[in-house]
Amino acid sequence: MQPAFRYFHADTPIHRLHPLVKIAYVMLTLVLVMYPIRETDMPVLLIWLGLSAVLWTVGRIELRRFATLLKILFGTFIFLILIQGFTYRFGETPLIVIGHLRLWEADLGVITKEGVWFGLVLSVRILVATSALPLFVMTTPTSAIMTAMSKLRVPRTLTFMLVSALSFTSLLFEMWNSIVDAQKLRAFDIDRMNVFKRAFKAYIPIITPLILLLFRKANDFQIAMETKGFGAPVEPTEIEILTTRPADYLWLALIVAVFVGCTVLKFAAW
Amino acid sequence: MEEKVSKGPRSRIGGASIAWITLYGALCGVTGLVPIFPYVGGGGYVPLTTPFCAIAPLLLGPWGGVAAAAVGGVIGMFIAPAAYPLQIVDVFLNAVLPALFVALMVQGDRLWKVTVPLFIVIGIVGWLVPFYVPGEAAGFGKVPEPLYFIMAALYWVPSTIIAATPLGTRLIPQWVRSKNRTQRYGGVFLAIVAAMFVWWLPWTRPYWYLFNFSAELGVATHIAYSWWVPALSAITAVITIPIVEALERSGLPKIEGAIW
Repeated sequence: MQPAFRYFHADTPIHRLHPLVKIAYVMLTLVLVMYPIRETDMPVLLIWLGLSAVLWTVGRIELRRFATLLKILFGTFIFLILIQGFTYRFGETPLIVIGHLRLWEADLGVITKEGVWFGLVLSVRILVATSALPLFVMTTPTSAIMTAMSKLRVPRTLTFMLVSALSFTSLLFEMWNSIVDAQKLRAFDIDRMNVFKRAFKAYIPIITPLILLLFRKANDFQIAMETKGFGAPVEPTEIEILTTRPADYLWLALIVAVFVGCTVLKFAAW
Repeated sequence: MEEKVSKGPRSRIGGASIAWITLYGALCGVTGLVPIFPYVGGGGYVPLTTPFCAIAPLLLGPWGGVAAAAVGGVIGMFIAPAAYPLQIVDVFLNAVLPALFVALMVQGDRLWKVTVPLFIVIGIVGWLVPFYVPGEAAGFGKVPEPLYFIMAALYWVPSTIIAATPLGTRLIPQWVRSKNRTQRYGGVFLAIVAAMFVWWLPWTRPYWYLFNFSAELGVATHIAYSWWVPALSAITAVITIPIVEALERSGLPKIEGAIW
C-alpha cells in the first residue's frame, strides 16, 4: 500500500487531467470552505463532498491509505461536536442537560441541538477541505506540479518546499509511531498519562528524538538536493511538457458548474 | 573540534537549508492535527503547530524559522482545516506570527528598534479593533472601560517593556544562547511569553470581528486566556531546551542565528 500524500502511478482520467485543472479544483474547494459558515450549509458541503468522492473514485485513491489521518480527524470531529454542543452561542434547544453554568452567552452545562448540528456542519466542512489536496498530490507527478506551478509564476523553491513537505508528512507519522513504540518498550506509555503529565513530561522523550531524527534526514536530503544541482544559478529545464486536451476543459467546466451551483445554493437563502 | 556553520548558496534561507526548513515545515503541518485549545463558540482549535512554529526561529534561525512556519501553516491548512477556519489568514495568524514575534524577541539586541514600535502599534490597534473601530456603529455595543483597556494592555504593555528594556535588548538574546541551563530556560520562557502575549491580540481580533463578539465577551475572553498564554509558553520552554541541548550534541551543522 502506498503512503498518503505521495504520488502513485495509475492510468485514470484524473491522473491524465491537466494539473492546472486540479489546482483550480483545490482553489475552488478552499474558496467554498472559506465562505462564512452557517447552520444551513450542510447541503452545499455535501454536494462538494460528493464531487470530491467522484474524483477520488475515478482517480482510484484508496481511502485506507488515510487510516491514521481519518482516525485523528474523527477525534477532531468528536471534539468539535462536543465543544460546539456545549458552547454554541445560538443554541436554544437542550439535548442533554448536565447542569447549568451560565458563562458569557452560552450555558456550559447544556448540550444544545443547534450546537451539535453546527459541530457536524463544521466537521463536514473539514472533510471537504481535507479531501482536495490528497487528490492533487497523489494523482499528479512532482515534475508536473513543478511545471504547473512555474506556469502560475510560483517560485520554484517555494513549490519544491511545499511538495516535499507534503510528501514527508507520512514519514513523520511513521517516525512518531516508531518513537512512541520505542518509549513504550522502555515502560514510558504516553497513552496512560493525564493531560498535565503529558504536557510537561510526555512530549520531551518523543519530540526530542523526533526532531533530531528529522534534522538528520534533512541533512541527507540537503546533500542529495545539492548533489543534483538544486539552487544552481541557472534556469532549470522542465521534465514534463504539459498539454491541454478537450477532456481537461470538460472536467474544468464540470468543477466550475458544481462550484457555481453550490455558491448560488448557499447565498440564495441569505 | 572545529564548529561547522552552514551558510551560503541559494538552497538556503537565512542560513538554514531548504531541506531543514521543509522537514520542520512538514512537522509544523502535521501537528496541526493535534488540538491544544478550542476556539470557544468559534468552530476550530488552537493546534500544536503554534508552539512548534514559535520555537522554529530558535532551531532554524529567524528567517529559516519564519519560512518553516509558513510552509507548515500552508500544509496544515490542507491536512488539518479545523485549525485554520480562516484558511490563509490563519496560516499567518496561527503559524507565521508566533515565529515572527519569537524571532524578533531573540534577536532583540539587533531588532528591538523594530520590535518595540511594532508591539505598540499591535497593542493600540488590538485595543481599538473591533470594539471602537468599527465599534457601536457595527453593532459591537458599549465597551466597559477602563476594564477593557486594562485587560488589553496586559497583553502588550509588559511585552513591550520587556522588549524595550535591557532585558529584551541585551539579556534575553544572551540568555537563550547561554550554557547555563537556568538562564537558558528563563531566556526562552521570557522570549516566548512576551511574543505570545502580543501574538494573542492579532490572533483573536479577526474572529471577534467575524463572530460579532460583544465587548463584555471580549473582556471575559481576555481574562480566560490570561492564564493560558503563560502556561503554553512554559510548556513550550520546557520542551524546547532538551531539543536545543540534543541538537548541540548532535554534530549537525549549526545554523546562523539559531540558539544552538
